[in-house]
Parts: sequence; C-alpha cells; structure tokens
Amino acid sequence: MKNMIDIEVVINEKYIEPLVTIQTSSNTRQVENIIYAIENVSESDFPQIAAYQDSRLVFISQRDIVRAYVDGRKVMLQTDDDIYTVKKTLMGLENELNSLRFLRISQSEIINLYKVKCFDFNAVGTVGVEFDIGIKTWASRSRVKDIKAKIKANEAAGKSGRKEDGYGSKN
Amino acid sequence: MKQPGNQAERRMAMEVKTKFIIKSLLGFIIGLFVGLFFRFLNAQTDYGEAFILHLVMSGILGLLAMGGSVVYDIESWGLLKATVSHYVLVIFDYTVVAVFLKWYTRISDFLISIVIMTVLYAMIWLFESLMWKKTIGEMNAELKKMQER
Repeated sequence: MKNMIDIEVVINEKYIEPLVTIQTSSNTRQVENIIYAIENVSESDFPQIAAYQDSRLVFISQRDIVRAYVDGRKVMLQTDDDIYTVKKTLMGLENELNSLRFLRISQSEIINLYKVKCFDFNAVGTVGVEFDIGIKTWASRSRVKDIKAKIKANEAAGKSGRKEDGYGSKN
Repeated sequence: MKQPGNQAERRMAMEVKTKFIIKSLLGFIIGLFVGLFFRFLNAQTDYGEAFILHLVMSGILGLLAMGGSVVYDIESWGLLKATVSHYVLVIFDYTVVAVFLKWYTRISDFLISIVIMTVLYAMIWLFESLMWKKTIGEMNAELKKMQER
C-alpha cells in the first residue's frame, strides 16, 4: 500500500510565488513523481499519462514521452529511459496527448515531434524516423503531409509566442 | 517491433479492399476503352467472337493494372516493393494476354514493348524517389527550425 505523503503548508509573505521544498531522506521514484505532478500543475492541462511497468503504476509527464506504439495487443509507451504499458487504445491515448506535439505517423504509432532527430527516405522507399534516443521507426508515406503540416503548425505557434503546447520553454 | 493491433489491422485491410474494388472496376472500364482504341488504330473491323474476347482481355488487363495499384497504399510497403510488385503483376498479365491473343507477330516487337515498359517504370520510380527525398529534406529543415524554438 502506498504511503500517504505528509504535506505541510507554511504561509510566509516573502514567497509571492510559491516555493516548493521537498524534504526526503532519499531521492526516490515517489519524490520524482511528486516533482512531475507539481511541474504539471503549474503548466497546463495536459494530463500525465498513467502507465504500467510490471503492474506498478507510474505517471508519466507528456514531455518525456518519445512515442507510443502498438505491440501485439498491447499499447506501449516509450520514454527516454524506459518502456511502459498503457491500458488504453492508441486512439484513446491520442485524445489525451497534446495534439500539437504528438501525431500519428502510422496505423500503430504516435510520436513526439520534439523527440525526433530526423527523417529520411531510404533506398527501399520507406520514410524513416530517427529519434534523439537512437531508436528508429517508419512513417506511413500517406501521413507525411500531415507531419509536415504539424511541424509548420508548431513553428507558427512558437513564432506567435502562444504557449499552446503548455510546456513553457523548450523541452 | 511495431505490429498493428487486430482491430486497426482489420480496418486498414477493409480500406485497401474497397479501394481495390473501386480501382478494379474503373480499370476494367478504362481497359475496355484502350482495347477499343487499339482495335481502331489497327483498323480492325470484325465484330465477332475475337472482338469480344479482345475487349474482355483488355478490360481484365486494365482491372489488374489499376486494381493492383493499391499496393502503393499498403502502409508497410516501401516505394520500391510497391513499384516492383506492380511491375511484375502488369508485365506478367500483359505477357499472358499478348501471347494468348497473339498481339505480336514478331517476338522482337514484343520484347521491345517489354523494354519500353520497364524503362517507363524505372523512370517513374526514380522520379518519385527524388520527389520524396526532396520532401523529406524540406521536412528535416522545418523540423530543425521548430526544435530550435
């Protein structure tokens, strides 16, 4: 059973913007989760994604998601360091994800545009996608137009200074 | 490795199937007209059994060529695989029909037609590949700009 976190609120006029201090004996996963939770509350309403690893529930910040893909009957979520399972359909997940940052590149995969290193068109004639973390996948040729449009949309959003992506400064 | 889930797979297969049916029908009709056109070109005027057979076979060729073009819509197939598959399909049918209907009196003429088609396919594939490379290159440039924001 999960331990209840003790929360102490100290009113001090000095802190116009709240300062959050976490006191802990060691930097555990729980502490990381608390930090993510706080960071996301202060940003926007893009929800954290509930994911599972060995039946252990974790909340993943959208900015950490590299891609989501279907593997057999399961929907997997990949971050920089790990792979998790999600108890949703890919479409259901798509609805929860930031639509500016994430997009469908094929029937069975959604990617985070900000985690992509580059695209390529190889001799075999498939559109390759290489991520910053080194993983490679492919995009459907019929969706390349959508990818281009999404990239442009991000540029436009960035130029106008709109914080549509809700993540504040560059990831 | 990513594999489509069963439901998504079924949905995609359905889309390709309907596309195939529509394209095949259209291809058959176009084939009929092309067959008619060639008959006219060769100034053939008999309208007997041979004429009907010729028309039907032309239609079938059109059906297979156009219906077969759905291979380009198969998500997981690269451009090369789709092009080669379509090429093999068309060349094979064409050869069977050409031999069966005795379209060529000299084999050299037939071979020339095969060479011409092969060159056309190669040129189209090359052109498509170059266009794609350009598109992807542009996309990478845009991606860089976007990420530097």
